[in-house]
Amino acid sequence: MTNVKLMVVVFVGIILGAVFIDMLGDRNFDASHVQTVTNESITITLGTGTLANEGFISGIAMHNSTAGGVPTHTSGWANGTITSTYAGALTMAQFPGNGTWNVSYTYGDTTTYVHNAQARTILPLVLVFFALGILLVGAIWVYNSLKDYL
Amino acid sequence: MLGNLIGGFIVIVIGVTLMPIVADEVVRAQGGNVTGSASTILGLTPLFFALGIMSAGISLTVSGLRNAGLV
Repeated sequence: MTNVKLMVVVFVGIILGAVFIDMLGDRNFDASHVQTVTNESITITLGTGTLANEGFISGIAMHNSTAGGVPTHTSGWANGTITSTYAGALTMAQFPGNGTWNVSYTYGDTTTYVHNAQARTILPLVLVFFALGILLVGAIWVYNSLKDYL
Repeated sequence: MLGNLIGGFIVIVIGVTLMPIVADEVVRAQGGNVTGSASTILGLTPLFFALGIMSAGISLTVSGLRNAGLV
């Protein structure tokens, strides 16, 4: 490959690589980022309600919105147990009454969040190796130019 | 030899012209969610691009000197 051709290949490779690694970075962020919702107001009817966000992970805390933010109850609700599905459907056992309540919880991106902790640990390595690949494109140009003299 | 010289000059002139675009793209990618080691490694890419241009120059010089019998 001539020098000019190689330079164009390297240039296109680096530009495309930078665009792709940017997209990959966004994807990785969504895949590992836990979002926190504090005091979301929901309507509870007969012990059931729906969270505004899907992708529920953990940490339901609930309190009566008319009680000035206190007391806060964690997943062991005083009069029963609060459970929530991944899709955000909230269910309370032995709920004392209907009304508007505040809930706090964490959730991840519905389609992208990786729930497996080990997989989330490895995710940044994908970015690192992709960056090494882009770097290698530049390094190949250097090697190709100097290989006759090395 | 003349072909090598012209090719080498084209590579150097175009490479230097493209250098800011590469640097801008890398900085833009680093400004997003590419962080940590990946960002550091990505930051070295313009350096290697510049080294590639420099290598082309060295190659041009050495081959010219070799053809002239000076090396």
